[in-house]
Amino acid sequence: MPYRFDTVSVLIVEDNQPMAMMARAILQTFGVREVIIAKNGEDGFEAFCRHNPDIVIADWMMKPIDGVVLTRMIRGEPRSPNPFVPIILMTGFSEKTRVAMARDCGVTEFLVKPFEAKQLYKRIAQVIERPRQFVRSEGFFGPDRRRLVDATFAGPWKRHLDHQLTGGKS
Amino acid sequence: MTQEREKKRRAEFIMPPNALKMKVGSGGLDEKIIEMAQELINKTDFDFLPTGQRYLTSLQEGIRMTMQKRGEIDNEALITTMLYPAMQLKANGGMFGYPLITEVAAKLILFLEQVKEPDPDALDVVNGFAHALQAIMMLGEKTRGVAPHSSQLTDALDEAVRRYFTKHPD
Repeated sequence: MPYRFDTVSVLIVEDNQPMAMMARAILQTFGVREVIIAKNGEDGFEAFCRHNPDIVIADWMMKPIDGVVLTRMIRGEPRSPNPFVPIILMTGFSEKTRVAMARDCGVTEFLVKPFEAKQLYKRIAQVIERPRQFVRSEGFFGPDRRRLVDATFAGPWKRHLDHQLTGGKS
Repeated sequence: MTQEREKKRRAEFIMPPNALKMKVGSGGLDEKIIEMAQELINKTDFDFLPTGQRYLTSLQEGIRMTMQKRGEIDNEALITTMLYPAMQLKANGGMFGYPLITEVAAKLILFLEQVKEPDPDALDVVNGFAHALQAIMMLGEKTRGVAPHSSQLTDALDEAVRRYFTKHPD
């Protein structure tokens, strides 16, 4: 049985109208029936609170509120209906430091523009099939930034506290 | 380890229920659907050039503003005035049929990310990129897909960047 996207809702937050339309058309081809579009982070957060979508796809560079600030609001604002929602950040940036910065703000996946339909699909499949556990610490709330977890690892723990804190899971 | 550091490392790990997986089921998407979605990108009839020209004008204004306000305004803020339109050109060019715009803008972004100070030499290089982008847009339809002489253009831009960093090694 293939994926059934007809019950899934996706919020696209993108200030470039043609890009938003293109992303919507791609998602509709995948079978997503409900695609909500907002034109910046401010409207995006309002739409998120109102519709509580299953996935958020947001552009990074938007004014007045960008995709990274929107991510922080979704993860941290008391009004947010689902702080665990998968957030795919679209951006033209591809440098490692920028990717790390986005991850530090609680982004789930990163999609570099321009992109192919397959790349968008892969990011969506990733959040479906390999959801990340969330971490709540003093300075961070968001998906665990340590993606690679080797369950077969039998060697000594580099940081003994990691083992204690995770109950030996990471 | 100090108490403060230990407190920071104390973290709660949460595995939220995978509601998305429960909705969509298993099996992925048929390759044909992804190909259909890619066709939407390949065959878009959206005319990117007017939008691209707006971003280019914004880049040129960023260059002018940086020339005038250098020393008065924070360097990062000035660089952002050029980075934002460069990012839009990179992200959208390739998405709407102009891969050469994406290629050139990507090189410009890389340059702007590495430059520490927007000095006159750096602005000369950015200006060179702006002229190149203008030329690509003036050629219009001819620069859709693989453009003739594109490697000479990108090689010349690479050379300008190399010369800049030879002169400004720090």
